[in-house]
Amino acid sequence: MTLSGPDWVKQFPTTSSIGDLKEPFQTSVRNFLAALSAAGARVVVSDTYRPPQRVYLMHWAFAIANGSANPAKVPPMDGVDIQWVHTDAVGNPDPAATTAAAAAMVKAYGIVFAPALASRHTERLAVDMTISWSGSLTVNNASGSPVTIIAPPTNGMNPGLHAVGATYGVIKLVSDPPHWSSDGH
Amino acid sequence: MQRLLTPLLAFVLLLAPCGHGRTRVFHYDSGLGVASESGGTICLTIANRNLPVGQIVSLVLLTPQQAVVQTEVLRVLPNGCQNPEPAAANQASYELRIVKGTLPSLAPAIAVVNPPRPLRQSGNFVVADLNGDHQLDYFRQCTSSEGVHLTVWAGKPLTGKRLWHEYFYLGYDVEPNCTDQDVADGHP
Repeated sequence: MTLSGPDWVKQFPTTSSIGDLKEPFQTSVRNFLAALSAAGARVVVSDTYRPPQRVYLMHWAFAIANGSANPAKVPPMDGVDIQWVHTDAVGNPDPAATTAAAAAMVKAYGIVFAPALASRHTERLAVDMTISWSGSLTVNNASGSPVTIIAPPTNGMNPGLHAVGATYGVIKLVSDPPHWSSDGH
Repeated sequence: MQRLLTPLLAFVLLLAPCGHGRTRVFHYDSGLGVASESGGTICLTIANRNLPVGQIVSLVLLTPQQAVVQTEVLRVLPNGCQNPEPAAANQASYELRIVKGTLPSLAPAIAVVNPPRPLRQSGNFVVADLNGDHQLDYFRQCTSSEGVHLTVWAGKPLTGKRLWHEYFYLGYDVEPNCTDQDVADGHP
């Protein structure tokens, strides 16, 4: 097993590839993005797949660093051979070193708020993207019918665009401007 | 008659600047922004393209406890902050320098430019009567699925009227604790 610490942070990176999404959601997103591109909208995809291993490491590192989890009782995860408990020279648990290593991971990940353990991103069913355009936008829905969006805002928070996305099976989560998913969660 | 009016007019003109100072209007859209520190740089995004170098900007920290940090504008950042969400067309970005206090890394703070009345600590809250309506404005943050909603309220958060709202993207999933009032779309 490998001791916890900031070296873990570069493993299991988040991706921004549409190809990492699960089918049929992947095709839904590709079709929606193609329609947006044809309509002249600007789209920048930031996050798609967040590996569960990364989320596991972030979640438990934060919990240990903040004293809300017992490092000796963190459930193991397949494929993540991490040793959360650090020991001293004679093999006894070293709480200070354990907490310091977890805190170093938290800092390296750039975590400020407690990470959740699961989301549509870990299930390959969500995409974070910024969408913008100028003036009005005429975009085809999934049936191929053009829909003209005139009312503001001219970005991904436009309710008219949400309706178009829904025809492709790409559903907006209104509380998080960049986030679209298979079911709106 | 003219001998009476002339001194009266002069008196009124003398008072006018004082009255104007007392009733200076605070524009929430251009007077409030979002700042955060990343990689040693404090970056402010605000719908205000006219902040001069040296402009004092107060940052309201919301975590772990509300506090005020004083900063000043160091320079314009033409390429914006590193937040994945691009700045809106009317927004500008500035690098800030701390004048007084400390700023935790990566935690978003609400920036206040040129408040007509000073920000002050009231128990666990930072408060200010920004618009001069004799009601204290409160600052609040909450988390949605992968971002932070920053809000300013007339009166206690969630009970008063929401005056300002911005979203700060985190780029990882968190446990949401926002209410519908925090995240409701529409202005402000």
